[in-house]
Order: sequence, then C-alpha cells, then structure tokens
Amino acid sequence: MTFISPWFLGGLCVLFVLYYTLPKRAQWPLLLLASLGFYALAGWAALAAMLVTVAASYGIAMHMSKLKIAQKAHVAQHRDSMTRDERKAYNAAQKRRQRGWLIAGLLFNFSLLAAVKIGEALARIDIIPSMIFFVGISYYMFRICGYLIDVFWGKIEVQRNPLKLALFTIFFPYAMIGPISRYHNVADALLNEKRIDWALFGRGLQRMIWGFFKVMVVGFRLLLSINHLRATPGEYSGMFAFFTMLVWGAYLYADFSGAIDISIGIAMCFGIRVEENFISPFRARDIFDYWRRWHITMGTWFRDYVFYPLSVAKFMQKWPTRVKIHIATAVTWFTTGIWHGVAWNFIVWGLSNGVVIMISQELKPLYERFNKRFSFTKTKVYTCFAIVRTFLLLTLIRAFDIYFDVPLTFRHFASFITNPQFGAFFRYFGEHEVWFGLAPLEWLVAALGIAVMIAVPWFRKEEKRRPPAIFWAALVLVIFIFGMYGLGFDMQDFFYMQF
Amino acid sequence: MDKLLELLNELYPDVDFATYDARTDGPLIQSLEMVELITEIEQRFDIEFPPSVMGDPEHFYSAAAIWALIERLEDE
Repeated sequence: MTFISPWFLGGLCVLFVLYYTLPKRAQWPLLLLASLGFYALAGWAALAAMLVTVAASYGIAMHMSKLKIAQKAHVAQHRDSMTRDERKAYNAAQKRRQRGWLIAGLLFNFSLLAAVKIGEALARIDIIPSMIFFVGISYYMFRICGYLIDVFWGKIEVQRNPLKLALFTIFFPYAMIGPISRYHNVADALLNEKRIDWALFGRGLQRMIWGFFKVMVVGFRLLLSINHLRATPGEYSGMFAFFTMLVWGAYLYADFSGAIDISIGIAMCFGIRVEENFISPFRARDIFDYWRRWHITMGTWFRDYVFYPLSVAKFMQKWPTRVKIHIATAVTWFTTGIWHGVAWNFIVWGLSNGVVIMISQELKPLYERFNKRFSFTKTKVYTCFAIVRTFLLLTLIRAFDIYFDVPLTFRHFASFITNPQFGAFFRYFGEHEVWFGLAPLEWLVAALGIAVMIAVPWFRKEEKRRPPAIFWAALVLVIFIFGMYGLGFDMQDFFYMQF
Repeated sequence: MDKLLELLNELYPDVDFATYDARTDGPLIQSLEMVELITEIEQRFDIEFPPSVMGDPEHFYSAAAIWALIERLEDE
C-alpha cells in the first residue's frame, strides 16, 4: 500500500480524529499501532524481521547503557585515588567492552540487511525464486543502527521502553521511504503529548498536497515515458539517451522528493517535525553542494557513521590527511552504492560519486586560486554556469540507475560523441504522434508541472512567502484533473520504496 | 586558545577567527575539511577526538566553541 491508496488516505483521516480526541497518553501507542498495522500490510515476514531487529537492538542498547552507568559510577567513586593515566586506561577498557556489544548489534542487523539485499540480487538474475519484499528495510535498519551507535557514543539516553523504540523505528510516515531520521531529532516529538496546532496541521496538509502534485502529476507521467524509453534501450542512443537521462532526473526528483513531502506533511499533521531531505538540489553549484541538498538524511548518516569514524580511526593515523580523506571517501561511497542494492550499477554509481568528489577535492586549491584571480567568477552568469555544469555531471552519474546495465550506460555515454543523432532526435517529434510513450499534451502537463516545481521552492526559510489558500485549492483541482490516479492509471510504487 | 587560533589561521588564512561565528557568517568547515582540522588538533594538542562530536555543528561554530571542546576532551 502506498500513500496514494484511498484506503491509506481514509485510514489517515480516521487516525487524525482519534489522535486528537483520545486521551493524550494514548497518542504514541496509537501511532505505534497504526505503524505496525501499516507495516503488517507489507507482509507478516517483513513485520517479524523488523520486530526481531528492534528487540535485538533494544537488548544491546540497554546492556551498553548499563555498562556505561557502571563505568561512570566507578570513575566517580575512585576519582581521587586514580591517576589520569589509570582513569584513561580504565575508560578505554570499558569502551572496548561496549564496542564489542555495538559491533555484535551492527553485525546482526546488517547481516539481516545483507541477506535480504543478496537475496534480491539473486532473485533478479533468477538464481533463486523471487523472495518476500522487505519493504523499507534499509530505512529502518539505518535508523536503528544510528540509534545503537549514538547510545554507544553517549550522545543520547537509552530508550527503556521497547515499544517506544519500535515507534521511532517504524513510525509509518517515514517507515518505507525516509527521511532517515535520527533518534535525538524526533524522539521527543514522537513521544510527547500534543494538542492540535492548527497552523502546523494546515502546513502539513499543504505539504502533502505539494507532494501529491509532484508524484501524481509529474512523477507518474514521466515514469510512463521512462518505462517506454528503457524497454528498448538499444534504440535510444546519442541525443535520445541524453534525453532519457534528463527525464530520469526529473522523474526521480518528482517521485522521491514528492513522497518525502507527503511523509513530512503527514508527520506535521500529527504535530511531529521530521528532518528535511531535499533543499532545491538542482541549484547546487558543485557536487559537495549537491549532496548537501539531495537525500540529505542519507548523506549525513553516511558522513557521521561511516566517513568521520573511518577518517579518524586509529589504524588510519599513519597516513597523510589527504590519503585518509580519499580512503574514507571511497569506502563511504562504495557503501552508499551497496546500500541501494547488490548490483554493479549501484556500485558504479556510488564509486562515480566518490571519484568526482576526490578529484574535486584535489582541484579545490586550483579553483580557489582561479576564483580569486578572475572577478567574473563572482557574477550571476558564472553561478548559472556552475549550476548547469553540476546538473549535467550529476545527470550522467545518475544514469547508471536507469537501465541497471553498466556497459550499456557507458555505450550511451560514448554515443554522445560517436553517434549523437541530433537530426534524428529533432525529426522524431515531427514524425511521431506519441513521443516516447506520452502524447504531446501529456508532455505539456509534465513540463508545466516541472516549471511549477522549480518556481515554488518555498519549503526552506521562506515561511512568510507561502502561497495563498487559492493556490492550494487550485493545486488540489490540478491533482484531480491531471493526476495519473485520476486518469485511472495503475497505482505505482515509489522508486525509492524498494530500498 | 592562542595555539588553536594559530592553527585555524594556518588552515583558513582569509578568516578572522577572533570574530568568526558560523551561525551568522555561514558554514566554513565542511566534512572533508573537518578531517583535516581534527587531525591537526589531535597532533598539536595530543588528544583523541571521538568521531561522535564531528557531526555536531555546535562544537564548531566558532574558535571559542572548538576550544571548549578541546578543554573537555583534555579532561577526559
């Protein structure tokens, strides 16, 4: 079941009423029940796997916390009798014990995740029969593993109620698609008793409408074309392949960020603020900037839990700083690729990002000298150039995930030069009545939708510049008239749900 | 504190760390630079930086914030 299902939306309305009319102490248990129900609809095996993960993580976090409390008590008790070196040695020994438990917890969780991912990969090439779809498993694994690491680091207090921990792990708005929330950011909001805040509720509804618009008017429409273009990928090389890559970028943004808008909007309606996941990613000026704007919670997760610990790890200390940065970057991006799936396209996608980041990092001093030397680099024209350059670069990197076929993607890149087919591409529109699986009118709707998406990026700081009520009413009307659901198309799963 | 200011001025010669505050002046230290900064601090102050603090921007808003963190870590 996706956010687009009428059952989901009907259930959501009932839940809003119950949430704000039942006694306030019933609020978080109600959200947990709803989340378990939502997850159970994805399959009992998936629900069981999730509950096992939460139970194991709960036990390990509680044990680490007990060790930490005992450690603090011991240090406090012997403060005067211990030298600084003795204290350090004692703390280090205790830390090792706790680290052992942390590693056991992470291994347990990631083994389960790896088994599911490898199973999916084997099913894709028909070595084993298609397996159960563990929807959203990566998202909750990353949330719960982040929680375990934070407890180990002493950044957060352990959650003593396993049911509350379960709610943090699978709170249904973000259970299947993200954002990958951190415990310290959302736990209070999830568990506090709340009165209805009508202003926040209204903004939540607006955010949901905005998400539905992106997904149903733009995303689903472009998906039809994408499915057509990748059904016979060999036919569409040169300019055709480049066009496919552009459509893919627009589709992915509409689909993924739209689903996240709905997630964030639903959470807001329950009075819960969760993290933002996108901040106008296509306005990025370089690849570093891009990854601070696209799938932000994934980027910060890998930065905080993989990149930073690895780059300052003891076994890395003998290397020069630049080597440390490059090794940590390569490992982080390889892991990010694998997180998306055990497949070459994801690995090459991850490593491509890593390589571009490493090259950009090496060229940084050169860029800085260039920017100081030439004043035109401070003009708006140059900023536009930087934005277009970054957009094109990321469009190419993103292309690996279109066809799930790395050699084919490289052949398409080569065809930009060897066989660009400019003439054939522009003639295509005159010679065909349906363009790449969509009628011209459908393309017009999609293009206008994209224009609206770009023109209304107010979800950052511009709280005062929010569109008036008439805009929202019009948008609802547009969704009913032009939304793919309204036209009777099959409901589609979100692309990013598969992770 | 002087030792820290000296280090920061070496890494960022264009920035005046006596007055710099990321909350008003905008972020300066991104993830890759963070590794550089932490490595230098570890070497010069003979302390170990736990990775847990590296993701928390409040420790790196200003020279004073970094100094407070160094003092805390020296005490541990």
